Amino acid sequence: MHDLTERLETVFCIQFGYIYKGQLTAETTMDDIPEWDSMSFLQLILALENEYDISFSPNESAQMFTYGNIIRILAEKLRR
Amino acid sequence: MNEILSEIWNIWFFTAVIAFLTVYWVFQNKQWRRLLLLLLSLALIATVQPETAIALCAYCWLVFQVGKLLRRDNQRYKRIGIACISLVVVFLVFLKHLNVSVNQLLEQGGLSFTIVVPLGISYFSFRAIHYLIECGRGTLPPHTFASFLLYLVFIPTFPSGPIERFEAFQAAEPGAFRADVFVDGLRRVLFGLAKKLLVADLLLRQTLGGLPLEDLAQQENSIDLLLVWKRLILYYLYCYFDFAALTDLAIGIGLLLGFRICENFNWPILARDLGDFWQRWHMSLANFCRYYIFLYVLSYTRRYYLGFLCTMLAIGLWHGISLNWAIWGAYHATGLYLFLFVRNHLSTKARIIYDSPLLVVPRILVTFCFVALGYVWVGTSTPYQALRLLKAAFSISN
Repeated sequence: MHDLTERLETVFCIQFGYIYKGQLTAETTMDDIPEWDSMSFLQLILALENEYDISFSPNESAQMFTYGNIIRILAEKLRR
Repeated sequence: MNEILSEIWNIWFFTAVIAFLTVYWVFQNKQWRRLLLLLLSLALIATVQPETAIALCAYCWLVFQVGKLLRRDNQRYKRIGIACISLVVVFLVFLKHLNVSVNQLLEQGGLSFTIVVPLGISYFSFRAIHYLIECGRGTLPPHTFASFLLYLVFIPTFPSGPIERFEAFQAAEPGAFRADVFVDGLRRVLFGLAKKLLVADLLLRQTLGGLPLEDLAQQENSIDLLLVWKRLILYYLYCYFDFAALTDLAIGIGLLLGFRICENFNWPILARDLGDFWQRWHMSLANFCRYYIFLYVLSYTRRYYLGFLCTMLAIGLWHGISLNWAIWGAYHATGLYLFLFVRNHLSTKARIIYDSPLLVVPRILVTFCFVALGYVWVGTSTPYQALRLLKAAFSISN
């Protein structure tokens, strides 16, 4: 789990800037990060799919608007 | 909302409010307070529309039962959940938009029965949809039917929003009385009243008159460019101050009852771009549509424009099912897509210039004019009238 969150944080920082390092919590949402807007939403999903070599279903990606949801969905996906 | 205000805002109402608040805060028990609020909310709805109050209880019970099934086993009861959401949408469309034609048919058929549009239907329908989706996702904390019923009929937000999230509403339920929150609420109510009565009604509405844009579009002579822009800007400001004032009243009354309700407006007239505008204007509706429409369409199609188009069409048609509102939606979707596409493709140097403080005022003005221009579709009833105003807004020869 620790590896997962660390790797996820790196993907986040590459996408939205290193100022968010150590700032992300399960409660962080799209509203808290100005760079995480409607346009970069899909870029983040694609970056995560590339990083973990997985693909998210539409239903999964539609829920990935909070950091906590991303951790939950990724953890479930990697466990399978 | 205006009819409700005139119907219930009199001296007796204020006396009753003071009496109610005293009794409300005397109770220390949360459940008693919830019951009291529920009774007040339903009684106030019943004074304006008795049939709505009764129908709402049945409606809430049905949504709550389906939500319960979804929380128990989302996969097994998924179809029931989808059917219930569809039913909520059909109710909204039928009761809000098709009631006029159905009533005409009933009258022609010699039936004395008429269909009444339930108060606050646009808001409680979206709250119900949010509740059902989150029940399916399993994100909601444990709660009772009374909590859910109160969430849907909570009187400060019932007639004109905001569309609060269920978990936020539950978390906002007050504990002990706090004088600072109460004073904040009082201040917000006074601020809302001043905004509504002085700025929106007295200043802007009086200047604009009855149907400012429609009257102008029906004018036989050629339409003056400056007059079009003046009316568009004043109409936009009127809509903003009127709606923001109602939100102030909702938030203020919520605070008097100890509830901290989410904000709905954050000075959208000062937005620096269209993306910024939609994060400041009717925020609760914009967030609802972003999370439940935009992200779904984007996730399924992976096409940005389609996502924006479906979202803005939904927002437009939520206001009114007409061609004008649909075009207004498409206008905003196109604007949003073009703006975000261009901004995301700026070179680093161009991005620095774009973000520089020197461009703040021009950016605010461009956004303001873009949004104001969109009101040609809102303030008229046919696309022909809107196009006439649009043509006049760019005809320098006039």
